[in-house]
Amino acid sequence: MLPVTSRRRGVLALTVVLLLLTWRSVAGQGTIFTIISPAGRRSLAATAVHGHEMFALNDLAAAFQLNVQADTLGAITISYKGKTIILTPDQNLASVNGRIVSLATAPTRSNQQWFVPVELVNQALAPIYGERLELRADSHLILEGNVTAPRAPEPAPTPAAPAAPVQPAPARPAPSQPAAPATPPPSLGTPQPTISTIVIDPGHGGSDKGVQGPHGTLEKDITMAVARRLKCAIEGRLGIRVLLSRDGAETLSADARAALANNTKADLFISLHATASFRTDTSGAEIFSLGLDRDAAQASATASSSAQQLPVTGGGSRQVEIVPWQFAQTRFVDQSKTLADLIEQQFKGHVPLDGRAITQAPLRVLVGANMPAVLVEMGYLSNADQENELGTGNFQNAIVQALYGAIVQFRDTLNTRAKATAQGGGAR
Amino acid sequence: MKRNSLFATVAVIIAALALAWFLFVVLLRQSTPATRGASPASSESPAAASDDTGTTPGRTIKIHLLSVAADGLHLDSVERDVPYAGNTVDQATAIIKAELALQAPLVTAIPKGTQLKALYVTDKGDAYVDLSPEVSQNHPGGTTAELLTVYSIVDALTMNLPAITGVQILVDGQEVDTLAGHVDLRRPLQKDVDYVRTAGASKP
Repeated sequence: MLPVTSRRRGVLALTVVLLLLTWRSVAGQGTIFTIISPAGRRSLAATAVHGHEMFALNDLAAAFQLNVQADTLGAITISYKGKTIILTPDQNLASVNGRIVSLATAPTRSNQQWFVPVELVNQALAPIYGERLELRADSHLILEGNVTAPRAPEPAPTPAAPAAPVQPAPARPAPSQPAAPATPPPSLGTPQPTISTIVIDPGHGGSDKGVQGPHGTLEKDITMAVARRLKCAIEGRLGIRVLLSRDGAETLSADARAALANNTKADLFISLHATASFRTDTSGAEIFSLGLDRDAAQASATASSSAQQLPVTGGGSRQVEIVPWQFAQTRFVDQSKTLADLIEQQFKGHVPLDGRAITQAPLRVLVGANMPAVLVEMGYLSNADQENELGTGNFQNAIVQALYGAIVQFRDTLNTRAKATAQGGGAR
Repeated sequence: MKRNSLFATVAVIIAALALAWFLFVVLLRQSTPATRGASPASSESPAAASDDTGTTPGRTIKIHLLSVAADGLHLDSVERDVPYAGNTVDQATAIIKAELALQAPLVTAIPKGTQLKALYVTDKGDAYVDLSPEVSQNHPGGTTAELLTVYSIVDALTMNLPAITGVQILVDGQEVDTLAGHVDLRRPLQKDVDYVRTAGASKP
């Protein structure tokens, strides 16, 4: 039997050990990764955040000369030699140079710093890095360039953990979405070939700020934030390629935006905007498609597209359809109106609409788009309440969800028409 | 008999005087400045936006100008008297100047500081309205506001002057793509009364 003083010392020591263990588990414990490159070795600290090993984004950027920009609405753009990774806070999907990648865990903010999962090195950074980049989590190594290192032996299988309730993991991570819409979600099914590429055009940008709200919110930032969310949602859930007309602070002309859609043979063009009114209490979204007046319709009819045989590289020729730029959209006016109607239906109940809701008008950015095209004014930045609303993730997600639903419905409409046409052709 | 010849002489003299007045006053007036005298259908000359408006002093006509409706999405028709002008160019100039001069409590869709620099009308009936850069520089932006600005000009002319069938807005003498990035201004636009609310037309 121990004397009382010794027993007290033992209790004290045990308490200190327990406190230390508790502190480590709460605050997270650090791990040092070693970056091995032909130039030598350097260190990169990782920290356990919410039980996952993560790098501070600033440290990662410094280690690999990455440029990190966070927009006012929270999206983070990591760029390296013109290639980009777009991260959305609290979503475990990243856009890596246009491709959607599922991350081990979502980026998170702690102590005014952004943290990203260490696996981001392999999942997102390596594809844009230009030279070999390999993270070996077990041995806490990052290999950069043409270097070799022996692999750590596979860890021995751990004994079976005590039985604990295990929740089945979802089959596929999905971006966080707003509360489920009142209408049932559209059936996703197998991706259909009728829409394989969509160009989303975040309105304005660069020196063109667009509308500025009374609290200073800029239209160009709102359109960019929603465009990135929409891109993630479509690519992640439909597997359709989505291109943004701009991915940063570029100033683009209307024709450059349509040209991207035309040159990439996009099947849909959606231009995102936030609008203004001379009355500060006007609010709601409005969807526009191209409207033609009598003169424009006549000019379009006389300047209809024509097919021409043009020589091709390697000899021979092929038939190329020549469409006058200023009349490219005229062939799609009806389809664009259909898409606008579907967006209006999807917005109802989820995104407030203004008193007109749908309008056909001579809009410059739509004129040259050689595919169904709409311009969506998501709300009025001139209205202070709606300015606040437009900046929130919930509202942006509601817009994204509605646009996503409309795209799926539009795709289904095209499929139905295509099937009917095929059956009609087969019956002949 | 003598009395009859006296009457005839007096009648001839009166007729001669009337003819002389007609020749010297009416025809001469119509043949002076081309910008004002040419018939609306054939005029293709600029009307300087100066005080010399070519309007008839004291004579006015009623026209409908357009202000922003309470919903912020439409234009309300507002009746106003403007000086009568004997030709399309001068009358169009008077209408646009009146549109630019709308004041509170009406809300105008024309950005602050916008001035009319010149106005042209072609044989085809297309009016070219040359506005000062403020129309673009001071514009709040947004498709809705831009549509209201554009159609408050286009409809003010096409609704009041049947001789004008299309309107193209120029800025500082130059053709422009848009005022604020949305509405295609590269060709004359026709009347679109969808933006004008017939009900609720107000008279100040």
